[in-house]
Amino acid sequence: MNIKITKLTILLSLFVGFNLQAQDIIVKGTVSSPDGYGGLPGASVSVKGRQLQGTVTDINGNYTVEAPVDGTLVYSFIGFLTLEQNVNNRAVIDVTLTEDIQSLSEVVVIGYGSQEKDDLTGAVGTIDAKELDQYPVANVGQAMQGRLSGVQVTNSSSPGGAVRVQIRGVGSITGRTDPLYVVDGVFMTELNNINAADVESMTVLKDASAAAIYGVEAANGVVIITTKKGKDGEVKFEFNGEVGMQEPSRLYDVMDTEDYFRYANLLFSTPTNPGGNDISIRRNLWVLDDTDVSTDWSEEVFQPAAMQRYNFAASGGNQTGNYRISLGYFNQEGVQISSGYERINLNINTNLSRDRFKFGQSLNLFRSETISPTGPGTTPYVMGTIPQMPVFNDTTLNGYGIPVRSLSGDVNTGNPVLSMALRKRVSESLGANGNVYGEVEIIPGLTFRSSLNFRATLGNSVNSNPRIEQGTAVTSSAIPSYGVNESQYTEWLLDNTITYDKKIGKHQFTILGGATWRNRQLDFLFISAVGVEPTINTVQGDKVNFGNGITQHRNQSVLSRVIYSYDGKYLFTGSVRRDVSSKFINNKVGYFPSFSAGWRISDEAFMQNISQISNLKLRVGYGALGRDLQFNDIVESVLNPFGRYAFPGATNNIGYMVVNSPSTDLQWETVNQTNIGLDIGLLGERLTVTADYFIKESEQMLLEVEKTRSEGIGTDGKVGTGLRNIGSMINSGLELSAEYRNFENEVGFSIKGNYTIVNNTVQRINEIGGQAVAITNSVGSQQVQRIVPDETLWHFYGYQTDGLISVEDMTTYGNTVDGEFVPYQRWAQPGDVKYVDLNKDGIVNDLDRKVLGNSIPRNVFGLTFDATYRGFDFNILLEGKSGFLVYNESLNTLERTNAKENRSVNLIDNTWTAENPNTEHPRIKANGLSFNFSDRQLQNGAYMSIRNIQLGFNLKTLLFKNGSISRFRIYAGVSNLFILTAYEGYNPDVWDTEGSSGSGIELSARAVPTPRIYTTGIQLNF
Amino acid sequence: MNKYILKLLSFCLVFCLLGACKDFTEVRVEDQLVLSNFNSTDDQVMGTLTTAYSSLGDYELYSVHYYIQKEFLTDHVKTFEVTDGFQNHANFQFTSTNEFFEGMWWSAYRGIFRSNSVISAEPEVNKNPELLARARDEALFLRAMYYFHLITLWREVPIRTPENIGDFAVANKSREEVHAFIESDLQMVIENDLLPISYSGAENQEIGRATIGATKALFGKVLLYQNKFDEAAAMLKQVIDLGFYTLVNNPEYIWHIENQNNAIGNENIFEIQYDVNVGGDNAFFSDGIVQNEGHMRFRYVDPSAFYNLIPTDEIIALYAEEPGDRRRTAFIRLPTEKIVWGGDSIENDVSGLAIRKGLSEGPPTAGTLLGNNENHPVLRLADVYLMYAEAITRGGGDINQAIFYVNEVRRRAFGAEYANVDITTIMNNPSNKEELFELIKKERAKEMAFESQRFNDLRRWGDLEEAMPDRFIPGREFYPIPQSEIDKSGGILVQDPNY
Repeated sequence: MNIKITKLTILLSLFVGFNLQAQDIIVKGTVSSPDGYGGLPGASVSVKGRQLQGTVTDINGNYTVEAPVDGTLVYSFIGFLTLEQNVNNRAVIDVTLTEDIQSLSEVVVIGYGSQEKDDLTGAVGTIDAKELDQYPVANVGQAMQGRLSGVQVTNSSSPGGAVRVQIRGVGSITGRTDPLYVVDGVFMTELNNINAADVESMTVLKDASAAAIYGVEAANGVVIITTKKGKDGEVKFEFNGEVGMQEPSRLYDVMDTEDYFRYANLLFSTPTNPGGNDISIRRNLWVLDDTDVSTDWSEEVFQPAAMQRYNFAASGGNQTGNYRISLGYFNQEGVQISSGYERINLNINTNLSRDRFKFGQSLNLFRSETISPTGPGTTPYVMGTIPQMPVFNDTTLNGYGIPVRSLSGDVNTGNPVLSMALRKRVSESLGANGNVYGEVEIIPGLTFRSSLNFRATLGNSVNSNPRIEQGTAVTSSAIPSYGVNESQYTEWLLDNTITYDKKIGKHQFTILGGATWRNRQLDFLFISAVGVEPTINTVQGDKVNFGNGITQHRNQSVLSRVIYSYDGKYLFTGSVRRDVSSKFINNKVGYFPSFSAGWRISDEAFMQNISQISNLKLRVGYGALGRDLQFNDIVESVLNPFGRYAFPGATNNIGYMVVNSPSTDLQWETVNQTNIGLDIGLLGERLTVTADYFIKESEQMLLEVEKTRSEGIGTDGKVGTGLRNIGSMINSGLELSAEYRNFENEVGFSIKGNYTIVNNTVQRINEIGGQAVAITNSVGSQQVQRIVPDETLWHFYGYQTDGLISVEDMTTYGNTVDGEFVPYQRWAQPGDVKYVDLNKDGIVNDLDRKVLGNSIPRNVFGLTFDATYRGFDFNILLEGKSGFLVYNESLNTLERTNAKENRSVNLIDNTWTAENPNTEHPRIKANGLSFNFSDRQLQNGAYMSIRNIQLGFNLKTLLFKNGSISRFRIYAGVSNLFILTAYEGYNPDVWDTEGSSGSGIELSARAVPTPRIYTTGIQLNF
Repeated sequence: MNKYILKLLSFCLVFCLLGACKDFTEVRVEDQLVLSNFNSTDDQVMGTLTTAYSSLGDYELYSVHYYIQKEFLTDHVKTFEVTDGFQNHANFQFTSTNEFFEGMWWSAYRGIFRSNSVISAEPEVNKNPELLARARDEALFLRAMYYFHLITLWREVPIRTPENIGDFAVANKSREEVHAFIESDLQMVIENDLLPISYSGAENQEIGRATIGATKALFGKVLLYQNKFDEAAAMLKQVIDLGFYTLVNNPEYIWHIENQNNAIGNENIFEIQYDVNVGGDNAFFSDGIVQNEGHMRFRYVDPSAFYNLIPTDEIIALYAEEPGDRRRTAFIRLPTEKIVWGGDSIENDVSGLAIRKGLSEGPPTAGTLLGNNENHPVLRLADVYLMYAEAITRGGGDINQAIFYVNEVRRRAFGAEYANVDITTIMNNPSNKEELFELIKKERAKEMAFESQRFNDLRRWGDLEEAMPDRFIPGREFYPIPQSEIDKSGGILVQDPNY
C-alpha cells in the first residue's frame, strides 16, 4: 500500500508542473499519532475530489501538498480514523490522527502460522513491543508479569537470573514448569539471552487447543516470540540508552555489637536443661571492652548497584525484501557485592522475496557473563556474622577484618565481604540462535516452507576459590579450590510444512501438514580440584574431579491442522501431532489431538441491532499436550564409579554403584485441557472483556522418586532414585481480563486489568500397594511440604503452635495418668514452643501435624494504566498474588534462640524468661522439639507490588520540529518501588532458582533482596 | 501443469514423512556410566563386588555407627554425650525416626543390592570364569553377613533377592525365614568350595576378601545365635580344624594395627579393610569411605567430640576379679595412663579413662578428620573358641573340649607367669555345665569387650534386664524399623509391634 502511494507521488509530481491551478496553494504540516510519539511517517494526505493529487508523509510525518484554497484534505493511515480538514487558505495544517479501535484486529502469531485475532478459537494472550518498552526488563519473560491473565511470573533477584513463568498454574510436579519458548522457530527453555529491544511480539498459547500443535513440548503452555523485522520504507535508525541505579528493597535487621554480646553471653551461660550438668556452661564470655566496632553486614554485602542498557538498530525494506540489524548492550551489577550480569546482542534479520519464492534468516548472536560469589550463602553467613569484626583491618595480611576466636572457640563464621570479594564464579556464554528458511508458493494458496532453526552455545564457567587467611577461627576458607566447566551445546530443528489456504464462497480453510526433526546435543568437560590455588594451571593428586561426555536428545514429529471458518462466524480448528522421543525405551511414540470451535455471535443478524456490543465471541476447546523427559534424564541404570574398598596391595580399587534404576515402561506426562471462553467488545471496542474457564488435568506425571532404602540403590550420601509416572493433578480456574482504552482525545488513556484464580488439587500420587504414599520436600532435616491426594501440590505440613510453654503449663499442659502428671511435650521447659496435641493421644509427636496451607499462589492479578497527553506518556504496572503462604527460612534462622551467631533485632531483650513471659520468642538455648516445622515459620505471602512506573516525554515536537529526527523521547522510571505485604522477608514472590520444587520457601542460604531500580533513558529515532 | 504440481506435492509429502523412520530417535547414553557402556561385563561385576564389600566399612556400619550404637546399649560402656538424643538412645528410648537406625539399615541393604547384582550376573563372554565363580561365592558370603547384621538389629526384615530387585517395597519376613536364608547362602559357599583358606603369594592383591574360614565362622555364629548348639559346634569345629588360625601370643596384639591382616599371627578371620589413601577426598561420607573413624573417635577422650564412649566401672571390676589379666591394660587405659594425641593437647580431658582396644596411639593419619588406617576385625579365632565352648556347654558335646578352648583364650590373656589360668581352678564343680556357661559368659565379656558383641550376647542369653536393670525396657531388644521405610512402603512393611 505504501509502495503504491509512493508511485502515486512520483506520478503526481510529474503532473504538478502542468496541472497547477490558479487557486491552489501549497499546504505544509505534520501528521502525528496520538500517543505522543510524534510524526506518523507514511500517512497519506490526499485532496478530496482530485484522485491524482496527494502525497505521503515523510519519516517525520511532514508533508507538503498543493490543494485548492477552499479544498479539503483527507488524512488516512492504517489503524487510524480517517480525518478531513478544510484548507481554508491555511498554509500550515498540523493534524493528530486518532486510533481506529475497530480496525485494530491484529494478526496473531500462532504455532506454524498466523491468524487474525478475530478468528482465534483458542485462549491466546499477546504482548507487543510498545509494552516491552515501558518496563526495563533484563529478561523478556518478566514483561509478562502482571500483564496477562493466567500467566504467573516470578522474578529472580539475582542479575542474569532466570525468570519463572507458569501458565495456568503449576502443571507438573517436578523440574520445569515453565512454558516452551519458541523464538523465531527455535525452541528454548529460557529467555536469558534474548534482547528485549529486539522483540516485536510475544504470544502466549494458554490452552491446549492452541498449544497442541507443539505436542510433547507443550504441557506447560507455549510462548511464541517474534523478533522485529524491517519495514518498507527508508532506512530507519533507532537508539535507546538507559542508565539505572539499584538498591536492595528490603533488608533484615540484626543486632549491633552491644546487643549481640548480651545475647551471646546469655546463650553461653544458659544450660540446655535447667539444672542440667551442661558442659557448655564452661565457656568464656564476650566482654565489651576494647571494641567499638559494630558492623552491619547486610549493609556491607548488599549495596547500591548500577545498571545500563544501550541499543542501536537500523532497519528498512522495499518490495524485494527487508532487513533489520540491531546491537544491544546490557549491564547489571548485583545488589549483592561481587555479582553482576553483562550481555551483548547482535540481531540480524533479513527477508527476501521474488515471485513465488521467499528466503530469509534471523540470527541472534550473544555473549553474556554472570558473576556470583561462591560463598556459602547469605542469611546464616552474612547476617549471622559477628558484628564486632571490622570489614577492613590494616593490620591483617590481606587488609580485611578477620574473626577473633573467642576463648571458647564459638564463632566460626568468616568475613563475608572478604570471601565474596575473592571467591567467585564467572560464567560466560557465547552463542547464536536463529533460523534460515525458504518458502515457495506452489500454486496460489499452497505454500511449502522449510526452516532450519538452530541454537548453539559455548559455555565456560570458572569457580575460583583462592586460599583466604582468616586466622585459626575459620579453617574452611583456608583450603583453596578451583574448577572449570566447559560446554558446547548445539541444537537444530528442521521444520518442513505445507500450508494450503483457500476460500470458496463463505468457506475459508487453511490446512497445514508438516514434519519436524530436532536434535539437541551437549558436549561437556569439567575439572575441579581441591587444595590448589586458582593461579596454578596444572594439578595432580587424587583430589581432582574430572568428567566429560555427550548428552543427546532427539525428537521427530509429524503435525497437521485444519482451520475452518464459515462466513467469519463459525470457526473451527483441529490438529493432531505425532511425536517420537529418544528418551523413552518402550513408549517412544505419542499422539496429541486437539480441537476448538468459535462462534462470533456478534456477527449474527439478530445482533446487528445491538450497537453497544461490537464483538461477542464464544470459544470452546479441548486438547492433549505432552511433557517429554528432560534433557538430562536417563531411564537406564546409572552407575557411579566412585565406590572404593581398601583391598591391600590391590592396584585397582574402583567400585561401581547403581544410583538409579531403569524405568523402561515410563511414558510421558499428558495434560488434557478443556477451555471455555468468551470475548466481549463494547462501546465500539473501547471496552473489551475476556473470560476463560479451564480445567487442566495432568496425568502420568513424571517424578524422580526416591527409592526405599531396602531396595539398596544409591550411595551413602544419596538414596537412589528412579523416574516414575506417579500421579495426576487438576488445575482448574478462571481468567478474567478487561481493558478500557480511549486515545481519541488529547488526554488518552487505557486501563487494563487481569485476574486469575487457579485451584490446584492432586488427584492420585505415588501409589504403593494400593495406598498413596506422600511425596515430601525437606529443608535441612525438616520436612516442610508434601504431596498427597486431595490437597494442593507442595502444601505446607507441620505442627500447630499455641504460643510458648508457661511455667503454669508445666503442671497443666498434659494428662494425669494413674495420678501422675504426664506432659504432652515430654522434655519441654518453660519458654519452649508449645505445640498442640491435635490427635489428643496425650503426646505431641509427628502424628499431630496438619496441613498448614498452600505454597502456590491461588490468585494472581495485574493492573496497568497508560496515559498520554501531548508529548507526555505515563505508565504504571501493579501486580500481586494471594492465597499462599511462605516459609521464611531466613527469618526463622535469624530468630533461632539456640545459635551463637548474630540474630535478629526481634530477639533483643525479647526472649522468654521467667521475668519476661509475654513474648513470642522462645527461651535462649531452647532445644529439642522447639524447632519443629510449624505454623510459626509461615507467613502470609499475599502482596501487591507497584512493579513499574514510567513517565516519558517526546521532545521531538518541542526541539526538532523539522529535520530527520522523528522521535526524541526521554523517560524516567522506577521498578519495584513499593510492595504491600504482611510478609517480613526480602520478597514473598520467591523462587529458589536451584531448588526442584522451589515454591514458597525463602531459603536462608540463597535469598537475595529484590533490587529497587531507578532508571532514566532516551529513545531516539531518525 | 497439474502433473508438475502433483509431482512437487508428492515430493514434499515424502520429504515430510521421512522423519518417521525409527533410527533418528535411537540415541546412546554417553553422559553417564550406564550398564550398556561397559566393554567388559567382568569388570563391571568385579567393580560391583568391590562396593559390596565397601558397605561394611561405611560410616553407618563399622567405620562409626554400627560399632558405637551396639556398644552404647551395654553395661560396659558409658558416654559423656549429654544431648537428649543420645541419652534417650542409651536408655532404650528408641524412636523410629532416628537417623542412625536409618543409616545402618541403608548401608546393609546397599551391600545386599550389590551382592545380589554379583550373584545374578550372567557369565556371558567372560574371560575368567573362575574369577566370576569365586566372586559369586564372595557375594553370597557378604549377603549372609549383611542379613546377619540386619537380623541382629531388627526383629524382622525384608529379604531382598535378585528376584525382587525392582520391587519398590517388600514385606518383612520372620526371623526363622531370614536365618534360613542366611544359612542357605553360607551352605552354598561351603558346597561350592571355591573360597580359599587364605590369600597369599600370587594372590596377595586379593587379601581382605572372603575366605572359607570366614564363611564357616560366620555360619557357626549364625547357628549359635539361633541356639542350634550341636550344629554350631560342628561348624565352629570345622574352622578350628582348618588348622590355619592361631591365637597371637599377647593380648596387646588383639585388634592391633601391627597384626593387621595377620602380620604377626593368624588370629583374624575376617577384617574390614581401611586405608585412608585409597579414597582421597571422595572418601568422606561416601561409599568410598576407606578410613576407620570409629576406632579413633570412639576412644578419643574429648567431651566435645561426638559419641565418645568410655568403659564403665563394671568392666574394670570384672578384670580385677582375677589378678594378672593382661587384657585390662591391653583393652582399657586408666586416667593415670593419659593419652597425648598429636600436637593438640587435650585440655578438656575429664577422666582420662579410655577404651584402648584398637586405638592407634598417635594423631589421626595426616589429612583426615578423625580417620585412620586400622582394619576392623569382625571375626577372630578367640571368638570362635569361645563360641565353640559355649555351643558344647549348652549343647550335647564333651565338656572337656569346651574347657580346653576356654583355657586357650585364658592362657593367652594371663601369660605364662600366672599359674591359675586353667578355668577349672576357679570352678567349684568342673562337670557342672551351668557353672561353666556362667564362666564362659564372663570370659566372653572380657575377651570380646568393645567389639560390638556384648549386646547381642546379652540378648541371646536373656540377660539384658539383669545387666541393665535401670535402663533396659523389655520388648526393646531390637530397633524400630526406620519410619521413612514404613512410610514409603504403603503398608507393606510392618513396624515391630513393640513400637
